[in-house]
Amino acid sequence: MPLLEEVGHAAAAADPAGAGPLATTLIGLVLVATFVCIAFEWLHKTLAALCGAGLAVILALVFGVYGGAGYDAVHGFVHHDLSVIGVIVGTSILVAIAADSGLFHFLAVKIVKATGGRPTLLLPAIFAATLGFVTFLTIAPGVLIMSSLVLVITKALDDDPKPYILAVAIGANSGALMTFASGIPTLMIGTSAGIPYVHFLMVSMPLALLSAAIAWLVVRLVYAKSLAAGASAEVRAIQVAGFDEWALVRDRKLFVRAVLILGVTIVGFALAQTLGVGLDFVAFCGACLALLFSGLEPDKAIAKVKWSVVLFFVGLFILIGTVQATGLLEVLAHGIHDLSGGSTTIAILVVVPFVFVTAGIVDNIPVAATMIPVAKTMIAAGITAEPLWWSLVAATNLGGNPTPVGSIAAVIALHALDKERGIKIGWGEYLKVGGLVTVLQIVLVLAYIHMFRTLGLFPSL
Amino acid sequence: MDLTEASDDELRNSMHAFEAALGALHQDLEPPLCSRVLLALDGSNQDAASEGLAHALTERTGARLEVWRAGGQDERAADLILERANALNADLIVLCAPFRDDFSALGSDSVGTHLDLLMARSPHPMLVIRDPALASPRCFERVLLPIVLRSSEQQAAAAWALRAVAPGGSIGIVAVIDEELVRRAAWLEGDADFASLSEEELAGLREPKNAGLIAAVQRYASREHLGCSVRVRQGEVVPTLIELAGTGPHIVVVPCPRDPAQVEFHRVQSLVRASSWPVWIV
Repeated sequence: MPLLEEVGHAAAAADPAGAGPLATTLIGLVLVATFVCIAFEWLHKTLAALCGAGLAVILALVFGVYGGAGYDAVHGFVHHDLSVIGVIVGTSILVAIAADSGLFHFLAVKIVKATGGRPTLLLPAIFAATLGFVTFLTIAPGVLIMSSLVLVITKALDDDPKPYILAVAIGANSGALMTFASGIPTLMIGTSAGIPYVHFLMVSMPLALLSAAIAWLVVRLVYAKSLAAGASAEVRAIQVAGFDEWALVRDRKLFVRAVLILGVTIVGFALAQTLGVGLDFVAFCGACLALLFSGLEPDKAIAKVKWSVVLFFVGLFILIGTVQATGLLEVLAHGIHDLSGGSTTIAILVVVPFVFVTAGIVDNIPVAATMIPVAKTMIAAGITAEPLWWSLVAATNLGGNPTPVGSIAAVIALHALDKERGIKIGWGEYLKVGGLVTVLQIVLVLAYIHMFRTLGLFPSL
Repeated sequence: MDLTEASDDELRNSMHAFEAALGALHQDLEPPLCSRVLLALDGSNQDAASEGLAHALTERTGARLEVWRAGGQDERAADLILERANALNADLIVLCAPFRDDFSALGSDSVGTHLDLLMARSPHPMLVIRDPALASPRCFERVLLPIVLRSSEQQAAAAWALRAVAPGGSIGIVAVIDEELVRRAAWLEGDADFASLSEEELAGLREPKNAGLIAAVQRYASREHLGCSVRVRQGEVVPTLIELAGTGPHIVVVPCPRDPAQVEFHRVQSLVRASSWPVWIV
């Protein structure tokens, strides 16, 4: 495994003794089985990742995959990705406190009221709000607020909730592209590739807005008829005006503090590299400030961290690290590299659709975790880094769009619609929108990357 | 279905929040007129504090202050105060309840016979002074307003809280969930969903009337640049309020039915007994 040292990933923590074909095959099968369990929800995804990691570690120890490092290699895998876990925990606390003030619910109602209930404005407003909330809250809390708003507002206006729920489900994945910390795959790739925060504002934010505009046009086109139906303009205006956003306010002072602390944290993210600190440190500083000045009991705020997600990441990092130590991911990387003949353009033409499809089937987080070491190997073999990393950022996030199980945003939004309104969006109906959006977004991503590369717009890493 | 990153309860709570915003009963809440204040003094060591507080209030509101002094051990003090307040058409009575006195001989809830009578008979709100050392005008900077479920005086109490709070001060709306009552209600209803209800729902903050009240107070506070926060606490109502007020200075503005047979009447009596801070009974 000559490229391992250059790759510099956690697998370097292992001192590989050279895994045999049997060990590589068995551990590779564990990875596939874990991804299948996650994709088909046969097991809770945290349990699947932890079981997969456990099995992989046992096999690696039995076959001596970790070489001289032995079990210490496992700690190395987690240690390398602690910054990702740190950002998740820190931002979770910060977001929980900000949400507790009622700020985001207040803003959501304000945005809806500003549309006067007009469908021509309501749909783009839902897209824009979803983008905004996901940018600052990450996908799950952002989608939760927007889905619940959509369900309440469409019921009040007697509207078909489907186009609006799809706007949330699909728009959220564009929102995850906006900044370094907006989406977990973005965070993982950004951390591993060492992409500064400000580069996201220059490269992926415009792409996020363009991809959301495509999704908006597709939803508007497919649901043109139901978007035109519903209550009359007068009734809609009265209903929307009836919303009293002040009923949602818990603490206006906390509002202001939350906005300030969120702002300071975002500035901290942007300056982290200059200051010589990690994003996890900035996230924890933001969380500490929020805990200090929110008045919320620390236990309550800390309990809102999704510890199952943290454990999911621990399992995933160990599993991927172990698979990488077998050299299997290098085989995949070399396969793509050979297929492209060393051409960055062809490599991207292969990687983007591949990641779009796999992320749509499995879950974009495991796909991102798998593709990071693959990309590092490809870069070490001569593929240009910047277009490859940005392609991965775009494809892992937008790749969740084609199917109703491809992203956590779609899962939450469709589940909410089914549970609260008893309305299902089947695979066929979802694919009609998500599939079309995905095809157009693949074209957009490829064209965007090509344009940036041709014009030399990518900031150097 | 386990959403891993967003639970069904979180979804439902978020929806209920938006439903509360949609269903909030619009209430135009303005501080009531306070143009005549009756200050009842009894010659006790609380008189000076009562005067200080009454003067601070009347200076701010421009109200006329009339002082009534009890003559010795006047057994008809409650009736005389009420007669005077009625004659004056007082908007508020400022009086004291004996502090650190032993009321146990008067029953489990009594706050002294005069105040007991006034609580049951007075149509006028009353500002009751307790610990004289704590009854400074700074109390008006922080007003505590408990939300009492199904209280017909709640809106009036909220309006008086707006009147009570000093410029630049803050109003703390507090909803207390009595765990024992919730458990009993859950058992009686046989409703397993009780466990999944949010604090806000259990505290009644999502009910249209209360949601509208919170909106009205928040809107007023925003307009007048006052602080306003909504807190939910679990525990027994009176000790929880006392604990919250403990960090003072505070004035507790509390709705109170005039019917001594009602539980809430006794709860207000208990609050007055336990409080060191002034209690504004509406």
